[in-house]
Amino acid sequence: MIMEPVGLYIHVPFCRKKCKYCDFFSIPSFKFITPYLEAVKKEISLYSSKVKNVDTIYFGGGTPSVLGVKNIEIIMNEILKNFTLSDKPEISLEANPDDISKEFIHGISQLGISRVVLGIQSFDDAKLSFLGRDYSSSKVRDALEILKGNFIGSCCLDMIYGTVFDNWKFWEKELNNALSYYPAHISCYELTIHTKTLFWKLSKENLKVDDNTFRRVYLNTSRYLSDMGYTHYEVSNYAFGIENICRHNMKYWKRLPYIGIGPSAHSFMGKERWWNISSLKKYIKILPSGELPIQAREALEPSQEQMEFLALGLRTKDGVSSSVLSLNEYSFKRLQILEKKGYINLENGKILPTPLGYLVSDSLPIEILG
Amino acid sequence: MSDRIRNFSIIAHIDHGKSTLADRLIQRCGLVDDRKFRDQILDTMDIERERGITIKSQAITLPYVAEDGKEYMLNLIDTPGHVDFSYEVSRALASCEGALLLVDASQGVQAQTVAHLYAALEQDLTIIPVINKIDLPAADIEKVKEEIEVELGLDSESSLLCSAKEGIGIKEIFEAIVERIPPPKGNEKDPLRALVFDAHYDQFRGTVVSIRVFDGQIKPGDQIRLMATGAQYKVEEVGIFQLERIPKDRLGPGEVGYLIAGIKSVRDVDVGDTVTLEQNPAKEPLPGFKKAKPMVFSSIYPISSEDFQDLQEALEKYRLNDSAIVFQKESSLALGMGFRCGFLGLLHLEVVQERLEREFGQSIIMTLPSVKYRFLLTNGEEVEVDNPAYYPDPVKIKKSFEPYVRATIMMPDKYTGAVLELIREKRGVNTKFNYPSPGRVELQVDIPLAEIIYDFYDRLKSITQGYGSFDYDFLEYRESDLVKVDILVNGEKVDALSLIVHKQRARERALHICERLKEEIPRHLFKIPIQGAIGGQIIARTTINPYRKDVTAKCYGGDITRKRKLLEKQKEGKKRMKMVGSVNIPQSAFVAVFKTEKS
Repeated sequence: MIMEPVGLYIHVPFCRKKCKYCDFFSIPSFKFITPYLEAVKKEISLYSSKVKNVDTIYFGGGTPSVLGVKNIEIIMNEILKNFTLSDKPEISLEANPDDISKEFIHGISQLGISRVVLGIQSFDDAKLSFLGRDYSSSKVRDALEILKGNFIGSCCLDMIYGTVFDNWKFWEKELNNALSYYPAHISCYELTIHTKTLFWKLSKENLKVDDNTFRRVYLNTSRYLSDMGYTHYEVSNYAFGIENICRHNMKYWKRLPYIGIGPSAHSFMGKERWWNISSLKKYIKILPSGELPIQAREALEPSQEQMEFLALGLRTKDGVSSSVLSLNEYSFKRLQILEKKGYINLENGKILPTPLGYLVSDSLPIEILG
Repeated sequence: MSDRIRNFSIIAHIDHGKSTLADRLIQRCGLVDDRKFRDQILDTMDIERERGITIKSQAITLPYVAEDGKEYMLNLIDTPGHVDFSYEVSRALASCEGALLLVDASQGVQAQTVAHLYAALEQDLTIIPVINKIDLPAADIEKVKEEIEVELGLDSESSLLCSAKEGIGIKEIFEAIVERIPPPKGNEKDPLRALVFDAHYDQFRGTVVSIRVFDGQIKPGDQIRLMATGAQYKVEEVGIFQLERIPKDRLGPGEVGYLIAGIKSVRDVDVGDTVTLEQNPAKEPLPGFKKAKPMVFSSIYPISSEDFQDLQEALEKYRLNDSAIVFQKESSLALGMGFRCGFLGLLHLEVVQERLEREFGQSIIMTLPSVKYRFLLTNGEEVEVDNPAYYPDPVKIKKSFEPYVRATIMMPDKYTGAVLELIREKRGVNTKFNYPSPGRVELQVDIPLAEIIYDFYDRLKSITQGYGSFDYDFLEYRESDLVKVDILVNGEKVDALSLIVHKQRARERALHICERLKEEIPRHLFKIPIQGAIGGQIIARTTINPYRKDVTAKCYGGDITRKRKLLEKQKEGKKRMKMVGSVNIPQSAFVAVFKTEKS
């Protein structure tokens, strides 16, 4: 039994349709919602013997908002039945503009949802259609207006950039549109063409801006949002003041414990990572037997932990403390070069990435470890 | 007895069908049954079969009952088909009384045909011209006959026609060998003189020495002496080759076969040496002995420095069967411990590389091939340098010299302009023209060996669309204007990439290397200048720009494992890189630079 409060991630794999860029586990059908809920309840209850306290909950997907208030309530009740929620828990729910109504917002507010992460992606009709999103920009504005007038929690926006549309001028307009709603949190995700996505299958050409343009746009964004009072606290995430930093997501980067519920969800505790099977059918089938639907586990070796400290820590403004790393002379030399080149700052025994460092954060760990 | 022996060789330009004819002769005299017959019996190495080049001399004794009803022993001595091994060729030819000169009916006389003919004529061999591949639609027998007459100065009426592939004209060849090639002379009573024309290593018996007996006889139990080295051995076994070794009581005058005498390595036996008896030695050795001299030099390094010991063992083993390779340990800052090696030529180098990789499972890097340069220093001393690491201090160099070869190039005359252009680029001088027959040109040109080993042959082939042929002989050292080019990566010299080159070619070669490196070195987080320099003067430059970006936008739902595994893989890959200053150079960069430099 772990007493430390953990984060709970609930993976809701249902979507109206698959977006062209999406490579997460999701299915464009609502047929299995009921058995899914049964399985989720079972999985939550199975963890009650291992976990006591929960301080963050994150409904991600898929599109959690398609569940509707009733079904979200079923899951929330199961969580409350099995765990103790800390004071001021952070409870986030990802939502699609399509699902936002006054009733929905009132409903989830009553359930204690404190953050709505609205996956608007863009304010531009052409870009929305390019991404395979099924709503128009006016829908986005409507949803935002409803949220603004009815939700007491934090309004968070998910946006995509780095598409062929997004030169700085275009993206600056997107940002200004977002800023006009005073969001508590903005995630700006670069479009990535993963294998297995529709984009990958359709065409790999002319989807993205070139690397140089993106680099400029990325650095401008960091500066622009900082000037507007946002903290660039993670590679793709900006919070209006540190109180709006997503505590749940920070657990991933800080290697704090979290439990993933639902098909394909990932968990981490102590020195162990494990993840569920990426099949809704199997997930539904296994759980009634009282067995966890785990696909694989791994116990981390010290060298793997080192790699994670760097790979994860260097994605956030808090960086990584060199005291947890066993660095040799080579690494210290590398750190000095990296600082000189403006990728990191070395302060009080910490390695802190700059925005430029964020931009190459996948290279930094190897660059440092050699 | 020796009047029933005929010793002959087959000489031909590459791909004119030498091995196929040899196979057909072996098959016809019944040494191998048709079912077991496999193409190209004599070329036993994979690399020989693939490239269609014979690398080592081999002999085989063919029993043949001629039209006259008598049985003859026909010794076929297969010669290497490449200029790198011209000395071995000359020793193999010296073991014969005659040669079949094979010419492709569609391609006609080529540069190597001429070179080999001259080599055979030097040994006073009886030449039987054979026109092969007469079954091909493109065969032009009359034209080839004319070339044989005009270009080679042979009596074309004596030419035999055959298709080794289809087995046409084989009997006529056998008869011509018996009738036209003189039987060997030599006296059984004279002191033993046997010519060593090859040696190969057998893991059970040690070195198997291929010999041709000229005078006297040799038998098991004899105490023998190698006249050039003075080494003595006791003969354990003598015999003849008939696909496998057939032991005999003795070998007498004119016979071709082998001797086994507890000789540990092929290095202990020099091709061209004379075997005599310790008790009753010959007064004079057979003429023509030369010690094989390496002409091309390169270093071999293991891809991964832990494998140095393995490489050393592989080289030692390899050397058991290759007396021509020389090597010694050396070390490089960039590549670690390795070996500086000397080769007979570029083909020899490639053979060694391929065999080390294939037969000995070594992953190796070979540095840029170099020739041996000579430098006259201001203090009057003369030094030879085959490794850029030992390039003398430039201020102390009074004069520099590089080896020249005399190259013969034959081709259809329409390519003359393009080939002359290549020759000029390659610093060829004293070009002489010869028009052996209408539409064909023979060029003779003095050209630095260093240019020959740098992509000359590939360029010639491509310019002449495969119709140009080429051969060369070492000529002499000539004064030259040499410089040492260093390659600097991020300001640090990479010793393994240095080269000695003619000043006129320095910029181009340096730029070529810089560009290759640019393609192969991954981006870093800082700008990496790659420069070619002569001393302090930069003559070529490229730059590897830093990463523009390298970041995963999202690790969804805490899936950290996927990301970490990618990083671990990259880290693993980095282990195989060589660190120069603050830049990681993948081994593939060295391989790419050296490879493209070669071809």
